[in-house]
Amino acid sequence: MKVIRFPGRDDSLDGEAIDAALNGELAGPDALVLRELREDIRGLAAAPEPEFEAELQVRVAEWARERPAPRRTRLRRRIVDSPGRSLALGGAVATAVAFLLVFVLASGQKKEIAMEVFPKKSEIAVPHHAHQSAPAFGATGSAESSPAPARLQQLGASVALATGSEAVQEAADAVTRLGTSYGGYVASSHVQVRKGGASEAQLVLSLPSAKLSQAIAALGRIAPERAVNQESQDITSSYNSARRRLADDEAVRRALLRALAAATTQGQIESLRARLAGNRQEISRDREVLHSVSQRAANAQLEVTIEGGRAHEGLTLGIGARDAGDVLQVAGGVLLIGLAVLVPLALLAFAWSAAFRGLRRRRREAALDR
Amino acid sequence: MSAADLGEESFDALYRECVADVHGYALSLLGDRASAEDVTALAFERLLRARRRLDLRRGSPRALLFTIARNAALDELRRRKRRPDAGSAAAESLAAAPAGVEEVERRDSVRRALAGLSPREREIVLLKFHGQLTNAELARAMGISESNAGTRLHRALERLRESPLGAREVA
Repeated sequence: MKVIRFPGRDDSLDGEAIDAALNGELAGPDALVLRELREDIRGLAAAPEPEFEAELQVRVAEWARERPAPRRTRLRRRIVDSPGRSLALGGAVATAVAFLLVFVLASGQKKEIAMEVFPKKSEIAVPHHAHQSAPAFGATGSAESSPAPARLQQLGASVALATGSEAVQEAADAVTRLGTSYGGYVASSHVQVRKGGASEAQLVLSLPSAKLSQAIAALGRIAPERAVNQESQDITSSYNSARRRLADDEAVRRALLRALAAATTQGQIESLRARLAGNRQEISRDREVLHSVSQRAANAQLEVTIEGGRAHEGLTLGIGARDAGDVLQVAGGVLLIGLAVLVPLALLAFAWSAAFRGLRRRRREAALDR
Repeated sequence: MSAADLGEESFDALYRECVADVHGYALSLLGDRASAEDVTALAFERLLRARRRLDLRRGSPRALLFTIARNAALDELRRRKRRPDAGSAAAESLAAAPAGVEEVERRDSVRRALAGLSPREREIVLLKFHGQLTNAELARAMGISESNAGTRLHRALERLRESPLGAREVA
């Protein structure tokens, strides 16, 4: 009877020695015992059933003969398997996303500007008159029936816009649309577009006085404003004067009518009728004057001058360098946005992947703890 | 053997070389033949289907095969935990038929010694002896460091040494 020494702490084999012992490269009792132990442990498990082994061999042969994966899948695998390609793919996707974002943001901003430049219909539908506006004064209106406003002002402004020569027509169209959208109209316009030269447009808009300030602000969103000039003139006295004149003539008419009613002779009647006819014309003129003064207060004249810059004649080194700089600047911006999207996404994906792998491994290892 | 070399013939050779070991490892770990056969088949299938993207710098095909088999076996153990009735066939006799009385005694003492190990110790011993993996390959398969794998293996062998198996008597 003999006791076989088992590899222990005092004379233990290290990893390489254990492998060497198991491979038969190391002689000695420890190695022998280790090999015996391995065979004993392997011997504890029964060999696979011949039927299973044969069946699995057939299946393995079938799997091995299977056609390579379709080209698309292989390409996808190549991309996925290679970290560099994955990064490139991720970069491309992120850049595309960035472009999309920029496009969406730019579209949204453009729409927002358009909404700011052109007011909502509900705002136009019922134009409210500011305190400068004269009361509406119809042809049949009476000077006595409408109260006199506090102060009346006639407003006017001139705005000079600067834009590229090729964009003058577009800007003029935008100004026209703006005038209409604010409840006004184009009183006059002159657009001169020269190919390769400086273009210019001049438009005079008639707008509700209450909308003048908003319109001037909106013009600045069509093109940069080079100069803005606003003026106002107090027309309260003119308005009051016209109103008094009308009231007087209306009083005369009433007196004439009373006199006519009291007239007894044919001569008196004819004389009074002639005076009434003259008075009717006076009243009509007075109403026109009053209406004109009211309109001057209610509507403002807005003169818009659009100056188009001179077109570049040919491509020079400086222009090319500047354009290249612009392109690089935009490309850098897009790249930066792409990175701003890619980096957090990559970090999230990495963290998620690491967490998932860690969790899965921990769960697997936990399966051993029974 | 490189990834490109893992063609039909090489795979066939790998199959013939490893099928019994993978089956033995899975059977020892799971305790029932049906699950062991499933895990064995799954391991070969996964290795074969993944052969185009195998990175053999991370281990030999044999080591990768045992890594896959280990993961599949642990997944099976997890399933059993969720469904306690699963794997109830583990009581069946797993051992190969021994040759004689002496061998019966040896196997019995080895079985008892293994049963005395913790599950993790038992698992690393099984993986080492059935898979015939180096410590580095063990470490990769288990997702731990090589030194940690070496320590665990050494501790498991130490526990075996302290068991009656370590001082068994042979004629």
